[in-house]
Amino acid sequence: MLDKIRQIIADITQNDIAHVTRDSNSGNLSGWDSVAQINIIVSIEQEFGVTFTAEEMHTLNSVEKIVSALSAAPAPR
Amino acid sequence: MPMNLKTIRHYHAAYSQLDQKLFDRKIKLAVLTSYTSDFILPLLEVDLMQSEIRAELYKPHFNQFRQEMLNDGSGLYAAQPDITIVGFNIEDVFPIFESDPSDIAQEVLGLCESMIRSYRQFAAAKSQLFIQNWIAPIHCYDPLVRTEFSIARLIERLNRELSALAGKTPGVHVLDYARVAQQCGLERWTDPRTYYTARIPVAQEHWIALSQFYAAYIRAALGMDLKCIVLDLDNTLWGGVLGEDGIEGIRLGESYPGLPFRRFQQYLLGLYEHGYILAICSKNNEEDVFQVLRTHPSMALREKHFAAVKANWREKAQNIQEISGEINISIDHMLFVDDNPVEIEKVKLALPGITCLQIESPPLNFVRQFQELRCFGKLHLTSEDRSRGRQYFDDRQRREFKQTAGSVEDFYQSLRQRMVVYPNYQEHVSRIAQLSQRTNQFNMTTIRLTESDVVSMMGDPAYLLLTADLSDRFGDSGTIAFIQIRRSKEVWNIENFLMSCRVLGRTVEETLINYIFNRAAADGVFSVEAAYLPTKKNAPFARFYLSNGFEPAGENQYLKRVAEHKAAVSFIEIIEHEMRLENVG
Repeated sequence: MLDKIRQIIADITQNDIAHVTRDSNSGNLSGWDSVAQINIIVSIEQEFGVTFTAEEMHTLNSVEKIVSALSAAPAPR
Repeated sequence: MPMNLKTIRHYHAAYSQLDQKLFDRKIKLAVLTSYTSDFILPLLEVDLMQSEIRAELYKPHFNQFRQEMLNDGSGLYAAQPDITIVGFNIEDVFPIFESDPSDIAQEVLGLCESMIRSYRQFAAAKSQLFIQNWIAPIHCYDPLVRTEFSIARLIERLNRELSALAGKTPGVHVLDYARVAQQCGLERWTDPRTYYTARIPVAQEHWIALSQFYAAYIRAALGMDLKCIVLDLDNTLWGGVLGEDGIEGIRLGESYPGLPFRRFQQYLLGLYEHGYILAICSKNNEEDVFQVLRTHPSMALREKHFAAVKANWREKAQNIQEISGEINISIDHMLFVDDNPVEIEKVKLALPGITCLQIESPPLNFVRQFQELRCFGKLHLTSEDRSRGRQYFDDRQRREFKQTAGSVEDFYQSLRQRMVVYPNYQEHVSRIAQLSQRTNQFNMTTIRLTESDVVSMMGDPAYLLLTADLSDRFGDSGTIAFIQIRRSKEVWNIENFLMSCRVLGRTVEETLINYIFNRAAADGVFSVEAAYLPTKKNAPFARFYLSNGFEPAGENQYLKRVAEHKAAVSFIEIIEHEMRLENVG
C-alpha cells in the first residue's frame, strides 16, 4: 500500500519515487500544492476504491495521514 | 505515441514528457474561467500532446475573464492567443437566483456579445474563440414541468441563443459543455466536495472526458479533422462473409443480429451527409459487392455514397494507396476501418500516417468506438460539405468515362466543362477559409486563412480574391479554386493559388491563369508576380509557374510580363460572376 501511495504522489507531483518517503508532506515535497492535493486524493480514491469527506480531501496532506486514513477506511464495497 | 491514459495519475505521469518531445504544431491557448481550471489544464496539455500539439497556456487567476476579454490592454491580448476558451458559470457572475430570469438572460447574452466584439477587435483576425455553454447549477430547483421561472428553462434558452450569436461571427464557436455533461451524466457531473471546497465544478470521474472533449474542439479549430473513411465490408458493414454466406446469408436488417450493422451504416451515413468521404476496401468479388450495394434491401449505404470501391483480392495497403491517388486525399487524412487485426497491422506498417480503427466484435459498440476516436469534429457545415459526397461519386463516374473516351482532347471536349469565376464574393468566405485549411497539395504558398482573415482582405481594395466553381456533364463540383492577388498599379502579386486536387488534369489551372492575365491586361498592369513556398505536400507542383511561362525572380518568386502571356489551351467555358460586389467593398 505504501509504495502505491508513493507512486501516485510521485506521478502527480512530478517527482522521482525515491524522493517520496513516509515523511513526505505538502510542506516538504516540491510540487505538492493545493491543486496537487486534490489530484492526489482523487487518485487515491480511484486506486483504492475509497471515498473521503470534503474535509479529508484537504487535511490528508501527508503520506503518514493518507496511510492511516486508508488503514481506518472500510474495505471498498 | 500511444500511452496508457486511463486515470488522472497516468496523465500526470505523462505530463513530464512534454518537455522532452518535439512537436509539429505549437499553439498559444488561453483558458479563461469563472472557476478553478487547474484540474483540467494538465490533462488537456497531455491530450493535445497525443495529437502532436504543444499548447503554450495562458491562464489568468480565476474569475478575471471579463476584464481579460473586454480590455484592450489585458494580459490575454498581450499573450496573442491562437485559441481562447471562455467558460463561466452563470451563478458565479450574475445573481441568477435573486433576479427575474429574463433580465439575467439579457445580461448574459449582452456580456457574450461584448466579449465577442472585443475579441474580434483586439485579438488577431485568425485567432479563434470558444465560449462554453451552460448547465443548470446543482442547487437550482427543477420542477417536473419547467416553468418560465425555472433556471433550467433559462439555461436551455441561453444555450440556443449563444449558438445563434456565435454563428454570426467568423472564428467564434460554442463549446458544447452542456452536451459533454449530459453524455457523462448530469446527475454525477458535479462532486459537491470539490465544488464547494475548491470551486471545481466537475467531478473527477469526468475530468478526462472533458479534457478529451476540449482537445477535440482544438483539433477541429486547427483543421486537423480526418477527411475520408475507408471501410472493410465483411463483419464491418454487415455480419458474416459475403463470399461464403451469400447475399441472403449476410447479417444486416432491422432485427438482431443484423440490426447493429444497419445502425452502424446509418451512423456512417450521418458522417457522409456532413462532408466526410466514404470508400470501400474489401477482399471480395467485385460483382458480389455491387450486387449487395445495389439490391440488398437493408443497406443504408448505397453505391452512390462511395467515392471509391475496391473489392478484390489484392493487399489492402495497395488498394488504399490507389484510393488515395484517385480521390486525391492523402493517407494522413484517412481512417481505415476493419475487424481483422492482421489487416490493420499490415496497413499500419505499409502506410505510416494512416489512422486505423479495429472494430471489435460483437458489433454492438461499433458506433461508440467510432465516436471515441473523436477524429470527425466538424465546427460548421458549408454547402460544399453537403454536396461533397455526391461530387466524389461524380468524379468516380468521370474516371470511368475517361477510360472509355478516345484521346485526352476528346475526353475534355465531351465533358462540356463550365467555370464561373467570382471576384471578392462574400458568400464564399467560409468556403475560402475551408479550402485554405484543407488543401495541402495544390497549394502554392500554404497560407492558412480563417474566415476573419478572408473578411478583412475582402474589405481591402488592394486585394482581389478569386474563387471558381466548376461543373460539367456529370454534375457540379462546387467551388474548387481560390486565388489571392495583391494589386498595385503596375504589378499584381499572386500571393496564393490553390485548387482542389479533385479537378487536376482538367485544364482548370491553365484556364485560371488565362483569366488572371486577361483581367490584368484590362487593368493596364505591367507584370504578374507569383510566389511558391515549398512544403512536404506541395512539391509535385514546384514547377507550376515555370511551366506556365513565368520566370524565376528571386527566391520562391516568379514573374511574367502581361504582354508576354500567350493563352494556354483550355477546354473550359468561362463565365464571370457579376462584378457589383467587388465595387461595393
